[in-house]
Amino acid sequence: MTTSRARWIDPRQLERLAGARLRARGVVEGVLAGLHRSPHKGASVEFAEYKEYAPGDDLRHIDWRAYGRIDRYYVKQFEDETNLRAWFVLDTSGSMDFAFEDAPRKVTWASTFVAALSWVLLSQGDAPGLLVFDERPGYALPPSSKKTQLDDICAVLDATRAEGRTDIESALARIAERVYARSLVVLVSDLLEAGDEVLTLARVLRRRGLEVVVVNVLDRAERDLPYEGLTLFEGLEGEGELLADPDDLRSAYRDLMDAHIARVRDVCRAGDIEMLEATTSDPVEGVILDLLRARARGRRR
Amino acid sequence: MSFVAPAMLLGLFAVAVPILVHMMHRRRAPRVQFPALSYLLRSDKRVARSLRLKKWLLLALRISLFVLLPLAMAQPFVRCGASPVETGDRLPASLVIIVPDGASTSAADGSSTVWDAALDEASDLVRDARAWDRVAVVVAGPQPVVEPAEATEDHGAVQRVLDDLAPRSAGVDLGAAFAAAVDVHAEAEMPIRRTVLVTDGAIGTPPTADDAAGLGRFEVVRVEGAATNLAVSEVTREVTDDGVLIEAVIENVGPARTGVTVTLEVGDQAVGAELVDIGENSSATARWTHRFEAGAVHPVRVRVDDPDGAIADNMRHAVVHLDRGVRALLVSGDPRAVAWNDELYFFERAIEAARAAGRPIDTNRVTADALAGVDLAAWDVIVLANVGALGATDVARIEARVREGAGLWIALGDAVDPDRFNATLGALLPRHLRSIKTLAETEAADRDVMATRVASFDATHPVFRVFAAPGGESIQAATTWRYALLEPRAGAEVRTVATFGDGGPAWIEHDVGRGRVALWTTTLDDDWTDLPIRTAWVPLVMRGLEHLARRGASAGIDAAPGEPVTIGVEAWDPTAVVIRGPTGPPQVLEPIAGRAVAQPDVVGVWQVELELAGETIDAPELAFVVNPPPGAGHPAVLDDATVEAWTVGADESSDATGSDAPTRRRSVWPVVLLAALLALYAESAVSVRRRVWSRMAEQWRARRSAKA
Repeated sequence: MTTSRARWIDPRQLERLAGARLRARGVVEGVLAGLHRSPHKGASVEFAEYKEYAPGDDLRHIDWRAYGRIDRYYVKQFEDETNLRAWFVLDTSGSMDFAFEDAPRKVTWASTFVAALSWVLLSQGDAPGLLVFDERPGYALPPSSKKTQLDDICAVLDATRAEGRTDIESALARIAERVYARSLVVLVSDLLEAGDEVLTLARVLRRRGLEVVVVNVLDRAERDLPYEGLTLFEGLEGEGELLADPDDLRSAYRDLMDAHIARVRDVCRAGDIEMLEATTSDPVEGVILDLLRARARGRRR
Repeated sequence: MSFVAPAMLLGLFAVAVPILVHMMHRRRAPRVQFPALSYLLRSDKRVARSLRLKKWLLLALRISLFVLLPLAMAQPFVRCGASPVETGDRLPASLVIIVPDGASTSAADGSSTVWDAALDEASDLVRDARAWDRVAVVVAGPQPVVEPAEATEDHGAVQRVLDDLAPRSAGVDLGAAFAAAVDVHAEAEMPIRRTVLVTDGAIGTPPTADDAAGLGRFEVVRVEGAATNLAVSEVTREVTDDGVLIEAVIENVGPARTGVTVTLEVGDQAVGAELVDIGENSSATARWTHRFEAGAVHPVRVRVDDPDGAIADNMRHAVVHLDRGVRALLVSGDPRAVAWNDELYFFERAIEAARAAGRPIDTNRVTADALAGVDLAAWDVIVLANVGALGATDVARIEARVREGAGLWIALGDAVDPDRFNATLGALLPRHLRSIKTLAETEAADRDVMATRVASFDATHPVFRVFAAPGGESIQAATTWRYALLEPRAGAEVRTVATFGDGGPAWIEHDVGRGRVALWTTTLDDDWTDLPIRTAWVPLVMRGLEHLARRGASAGIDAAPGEPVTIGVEAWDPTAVVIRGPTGPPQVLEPIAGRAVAQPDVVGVWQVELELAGETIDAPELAFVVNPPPGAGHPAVLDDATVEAWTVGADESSDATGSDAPTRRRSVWPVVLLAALLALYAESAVSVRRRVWSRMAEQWRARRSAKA
């Protein structure tokens, strides 16, 4: 398990992310008290348990008595502070098994992103879970804040193979069935096959009180089509093949791709869905920080 | 469409290159996996039509490039019809005007001759030529003359040539004129060829349509010639006992019987006239017997009065040679009663054979004692055959005659004593005798073994030249067992012409005054040599006498103007030959191997002079005459079928399609090459990647914004 963890988590990335707080923009229900505000206002300020101090915790909640007894910092958590239940919905279809030149494969980048963000969540007491899917929903690891959760997530990622077609709609439907309370749903996909039904379902999840974040992962080659000369293109999900000169198609292709991304962006904005656009050449930690900053701005609003 | 270099069309097979490249390119396309293939497929569908158009356009451009390039290199051309006026208006032309100057052009109508009318027509053609046309005139005589030397745009110079032209009144070789015109056209290298024949219809032997090949547009401008003609077509002369019989043949070309006065002129005087009645299209003969005064050569003319027909053939020149033969005085030093024992028996037999062959050789034989009573001036050659002794007076007379121009042939024999011979004839001998060398006795059995032979001789010498020809080896087969050895002689102009095998001279000669002395170092009979019974003997005697008598070979020549005339002057061996016609400057000829070749172009009697060692002598016996060829002045009709054949032949050969309408060849290859270049540019522009265009557009926009 340690090997898998080391594979998906870069210590240098974690160092940059230490102390960061992921704050849900809305009110979430949770089992563990945390930094998030409870939906039951004033109902309880009862002490629930201790939590070892981590950079970023409010210094006011450090239990100095406990410090005096065991010489370690513990932060008191209360019932009215809930932890965040986050579902990472990771696309492992064939289209994610793509890389251009030196860039990492999309599924690799996405797995790193999931693992890193899971560590952040776990480090602040939240409960990340994972659902991988391709043409059908695959293995699902329910959200948990237990200490071994990160290793479990990494083990699932390690066992994941990017293949098969994409069926985001089924994955989101599965999430809709299993999430009974307000949670964070992070969809990590290239969204190449994201039709209207997918976006509609995402908006439904949002209306049900779930906080939905869509991370659109693309390779730079999928944006720019940088190939030269007559090329025989072969689809990764059984679309067939095409012999073409990329130079002839580049302009139309870019128009189509830009239109698709713009449509996804518009739908997300209309449905109050956070959308994050990333390419595999972007550093994962930078994308996570962007996500956190964006959410912090949303909380202040 | 036709091609200048059709072999280049093999390059059309290269059209397979773009197709093969297209197919190989397709096979070599790299295969890559791409996740957003559905977007690519939709993009491809969106631009499919323009892509397909571009693909086929590129293939078409490349194929056309590989088709057009070999096509252009094959230099295609098309023949297109155009009226002569249209063609002439557009393109510069080389204009060749052919003007025959045969005797028929001398026919006069009033004060103007046919030649004048032909020149007027030629002048009109020159005047009508456009400033950018190149013009030349070909005078069609027996030898065509091109004036100026090449076609020129200086029409004034051509007009001056026409003004200075004079008819040669000879025959017409129109085929040679056509060939000369084609050469002029070829050198002019103008896009249009135009040839105009200005003629009264007299064209000699008509050329064929093939002869007209290359003349381009062919036209005939007709000038009116005479309808009838009277001509002196032949003059013969024969020496008779009563004088010289001169006969002249008069031809009447015309539909009417006519009577005409025929006049014989000797020098500048009319010595006879005869009225001759000649039927239509017939001939008659006029005869005179005339006794000429002193002198060997007399020019004569026979004239008829024919004001209507050609003038040039109204008079015919001739030369009467009263003395054409060689007169040889044979002096025998050993006369015998039995003929075959006589010293001159074999010599006289050779002369008889020469006479039988048509050589006029007149001889007289005397003994040495009777020589005093002979007038040496009557003889051209004196032959001393084994004359052992001569009186001083006879020797002086002989020397004087030789210095006047006679020849002396000295042969030896048993009667000759070298010392006494040297004492008496020493002044005339080329080299003195030293002794008589005997290799074998006449009756010896081993005579042929011991004897010598003529081993070498000057193959250019008039006497011995014939022995260098095939069959002439018989002189070297002859054996000589006795001959005279000679003393050396320094500084003298002595020519050793033939030598024996042991180096002794056989024939040696030198000039004395205007005469020539030859020494034959053996006998003229078979006492010392068997040459007289060999086949070489007759030509040796005949040519030896003519050589010593200095007889030439041009007398009696009756040539046409422009026709080559060979004058044989080997007997004199002059440094130069000068011929003088009735008009014009004298012509100096350089004789080669005893022959001088002239090309006189003026009708009349031509006199000959010889340059001999700085001295010029008249050679009246070499005079010859130049007359219009018989029939050259007769009227002729140039039929339309012949002209049509020439016109078609000229067009087919140059730039016509063979149809009736004149056509012109137009090169198509520049257009094809331009199309190939355009295809190349288009291919480059179409195949340039859009990214390049995008970058260029971005740079252009950036530059504009920077300026703004």
